[in-house]
This record gives sequence, structure tokens and C-alpha cells, in this order.
Amino acid sequence: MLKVNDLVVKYDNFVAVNDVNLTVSDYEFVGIIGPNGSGKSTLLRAISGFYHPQNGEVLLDEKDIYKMKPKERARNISFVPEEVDTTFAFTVKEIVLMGRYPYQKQFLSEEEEGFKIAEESLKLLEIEGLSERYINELSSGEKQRVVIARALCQQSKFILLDEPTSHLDISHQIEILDIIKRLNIEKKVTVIIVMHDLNLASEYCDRILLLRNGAIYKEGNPEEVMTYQNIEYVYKTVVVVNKNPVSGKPHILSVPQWDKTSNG
Amino acid sequence: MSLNPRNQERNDFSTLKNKFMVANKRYIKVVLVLVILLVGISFVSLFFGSTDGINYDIIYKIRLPRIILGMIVGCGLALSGAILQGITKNPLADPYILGASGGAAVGVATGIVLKLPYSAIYPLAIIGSAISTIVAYSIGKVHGQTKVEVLILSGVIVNIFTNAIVLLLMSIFYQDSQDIIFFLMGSLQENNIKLIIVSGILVLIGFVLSFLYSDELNIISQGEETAYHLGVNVEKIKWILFFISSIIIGSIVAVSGVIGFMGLIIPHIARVFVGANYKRFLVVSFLLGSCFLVTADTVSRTLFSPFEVPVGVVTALTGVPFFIYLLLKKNVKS
Repeated sequence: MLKVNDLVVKYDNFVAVNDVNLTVSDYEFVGIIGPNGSGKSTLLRAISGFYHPQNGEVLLDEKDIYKMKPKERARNISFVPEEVDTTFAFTVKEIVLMGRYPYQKQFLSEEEEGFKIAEESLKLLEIEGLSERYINELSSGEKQRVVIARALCQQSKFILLDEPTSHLDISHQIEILDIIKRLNIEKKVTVIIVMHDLNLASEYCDRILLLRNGAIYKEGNPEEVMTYQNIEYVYKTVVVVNKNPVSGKPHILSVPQWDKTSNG
Repeated sequence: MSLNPRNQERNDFSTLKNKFMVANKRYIKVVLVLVILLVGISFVSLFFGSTDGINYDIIYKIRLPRIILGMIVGCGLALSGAILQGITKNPLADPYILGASGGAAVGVATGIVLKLPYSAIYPLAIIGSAISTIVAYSIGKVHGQTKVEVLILSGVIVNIFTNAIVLLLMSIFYQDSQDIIFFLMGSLQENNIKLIIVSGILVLIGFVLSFLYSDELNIISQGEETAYHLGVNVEKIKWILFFISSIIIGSIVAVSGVIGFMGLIIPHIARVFVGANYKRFLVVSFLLGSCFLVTADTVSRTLFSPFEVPVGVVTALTGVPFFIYLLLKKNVKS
């Protein structure tokens, strides 16, 4: 279980995360949504420990995350960024094996066990055929699979994802999110994911946090959060909320305002 | 991309292992070729030059130490470039461009004007290199990220500053200016065997230490945030690596002066041969740097014989076009 108590993160005088309290149970799939600049990514990085908060604490099974040793922390929480870095040409296998670092002894390299786990992660993401390819030769969708495979190698209970599909087209978005959902259900990984697309958030998340100015404005299952009142208030745009006829989840439709404003 | 269950698990695993072996074979081949090349170049360099017949005094007392120093300096510069490129996640990083060499030069110049013994010049050069690297890095780091262009700019600024200090020292202590110029010109003329040995040992220590940290270097070269989330103690490892790089650069500048662009060129070529994995890449950089500098020095010594061109001129003449090429390539891509 992950507990966030009274978390405050400030940049100079700007309050990016404002007094957030949150409990995430094991095996949950939690989405964080909110407009640009509402503090989604900052909150996620404060939970991962990368940003140190000015106030508050993050407890992972009652242990303070900011006091954990780096490797111990990485064995408990893995992080999938928006994009993988391709400055240097590493092979897919080399990048995925980096996920085993938290289990390596100082100055010693990977053991047989690690190769096996790396191999399994590659297989789970259906990229075992790419293992000798260089990362900068891959498509965006494939790159994202590589980073998720690396996070999987960390065998962490929690996986945090920061808009992992924002650079992908709709079919690859669904592919990646399906994979994450499958890991959540089959591998019992607890997922905390920052999402941009409200409809995808509504389809995949068990619980959604709607952020406004760094604070949680509304929290609950998709039906509770995705109401037109909430979305219109936080995003300051007119929407209509429907139902996805297949899944039954709330579906948000934007309503353009250009003709109304031009008529006064 | 089917979801069919596969039942050749054992097979797949052994192919992965085999692939790993293939990568190793290529690497072993590259290393063998480079070792042979290094020996060959050294022999050519040893017996090539303007002497009437074979003069053993020149060969053993002048050329042999010079070749050994060339190997030490070449691999040291390449190593330091490889390390700095990894920490800064910047393929254009180089000890010369980032001001590390300039800082070491200030240390050496200070040692000369204070008439300090060599044992004191080494630590001064190492400290100078460490300070200037850290200053350039701190200026170049904006919001926790090092932007390639900003980092190069901050390196230029640090270089201008260190040059100014050296000039200041030369104008105040003008009676030493000849010594300082001779020292900093970037040359492998060093007849003091003891100095060569000390630098060789320090560079070797630097190599062993950076090799021990190759896993961390691999991960840090993916960016600091990623390294943090993979469980690397980023701050600690970064300072250790800066320190290793400073030891290498300080001990090189103390014997050979400022030789530019080696740290830029060599890691690039090494990556083309064996990929970016530091476990292979450091060793190949090490050997390639030796080969390159011994060759460059032989050229500098014989091209306009009996006059000698400083080897730093040869490396700069080849390095600058290379740097421009990389910069253009990068801008075209983005």
C-alpha cells in the first residue's frame, strides 16, 4: 500500500503540488488527469522520490520513500517516462537489462537469473525479436515497449507512468495501455499513470484523480469523476458526457465554441 | 504480433545467450585488431624519423619514452572524453571543450611560477581540472538538465577564463613564461621517465575505476532521471566519475600540456565499432586513443622534419572538422 500524506512541492514560489493526500491499495490502476500545469507530472515524480517535497511524506508499506536506499527504492517503484532517451545507441537488450541494476551487487554484473527475467519481459511485451536492435532504429511504439520491459525487469510492486502514450497514434495507444492493464491484472502490478486523454483514462482506470492547481479536485471511479460539471469546471471548456456503448464507461465529447463567440 | 503461447522458451533463452556471445566475438576481434595495430604503429614510430642510420640512443632514450607517453596520454584523453560524455549525456563533451584541460593548465602554471616540485604539480593539476569541470557543468545545467549547446557554451566560457589566468600568470612571472608556454603547448617531448611512470599509473587507476563503474555509466548516460528511477545513486556516482576524469586529465596535462579534441573523436569511433555499452566501449576507447595519438605524434614529428609541429596542432586540425561535422549532423536531425 502506498500512502501520500500532506504532500507539498514548490518551485521557488510556485506551488506545484498543494497538500495532496492519497492512498493507493495494492493491485489498483489509478489514473491522474488534469489540465496542463495542474501538477500531474510533479506529483508523480514526488511519489517516485525524484522531487523532494517541501512538506509531507510518501510511505510505501509504511516505509518512508525518501529515506530508502536508491536500489531498495528501485526494487519497489519503477518509472516509465514519456519518451526514452536515444542519445547513445544501446541495444534493446542492454536497455532492458538496466532494469536489473537494483538487484546487482556493487561492481558485479548481471547473473544468469537477470538474463532470464530480461528475456521474459521482452517476451511479455512481444519484442523479443528486437533484442539486438539499436534503440534509435525503433518506432515510437516499440521504444515505449522497451521502456516498459525495463520497468518490468525491476520487478517492482508499483509502476508509475508519465503519459506513456502521448507520442503514439490511437492504435499504438491502445496496444500499450492494453499491455499495462494486462500487467496490472495478470502480474499484480499496481499502476499509477498520468494520462492526457480523458476517454482513455475513463476506459482503463479503476480510480481517477482529477487535479486542479496542484490539489486533488475530485477523486473516485470514472463515473464519479467524469461528469460534465467536473470537467467543465477544471478544464474551463464545454463538454458533453456520454456513455461508451461497448464498455459503458463515461465518454467525453468536446463542444467547440467558435460560432457562439463570433456571434457575441 | 500474436498472443499465441510459445513453447520454445528454452530455445529462445539459448539464442539470447548466443547473441550475447556474438556481440562478444565482434568485440574481441576489434580489441585484437587494435592491439596489433598499436604494436605495429609503435614499431614504425620507433624506427621512423630523421636519423643517419640507426641511432640506439635516440631510439631508446627519446623515441621509446615518447611512444609510451603517447599511449598513456592518448588513452587517458579518450577515457576522460568517454566518461564526460556519459555523465553529461552529451556526445560533444570532451575534456578540452568542457574546460577540464584548461583548469589543469592553470594548476600546472601555478606550480611552475611557485617553483614547486613535480610532486606538488600533479595535485594542483588534478584540483584545477576538477574545479573547472564542475564549474562548467554547474553553469551548463539548467533545471536539472544539461542541454548540449548550453554545456558547450559554458565550457567555452571556462576555457576563456582559464586562459586568462594562465596569461595573467605569464605576464606577472614573465621570467617563467617560456617554461609555461613550453609546458602547455601540447607536446609529448618529456624525457623525465619518472613523470611518465607516475602519469601512466594514474591513468591506469582511472581506467580501472571507470571500468568498475561501467554499469552506472551506462545507466547515467540514459539521463539522470532515468538513472535515479533505476536505483543509481546519481549524485554520488557523478561526483566519483568527475573526480576520476579529473585525475586522468590532471595527470596528463602535467606531462603533456593541453591536447584537444582527442576525447571527442575517439569515443565516437569506438561507439561505431562496439556500440555504446561502456563495458566494451571503454576498453576500445582506451586502445584506440593510444593508436591515434602515437600516430598523430609520429606525423607531427616527421611531417616537416627536421622541424616539429606540436601534436596538439595535429589533433586540433583533425578534431575541429570532426566536431563541426557532429554539430551539423545533430542540428540536421533535430
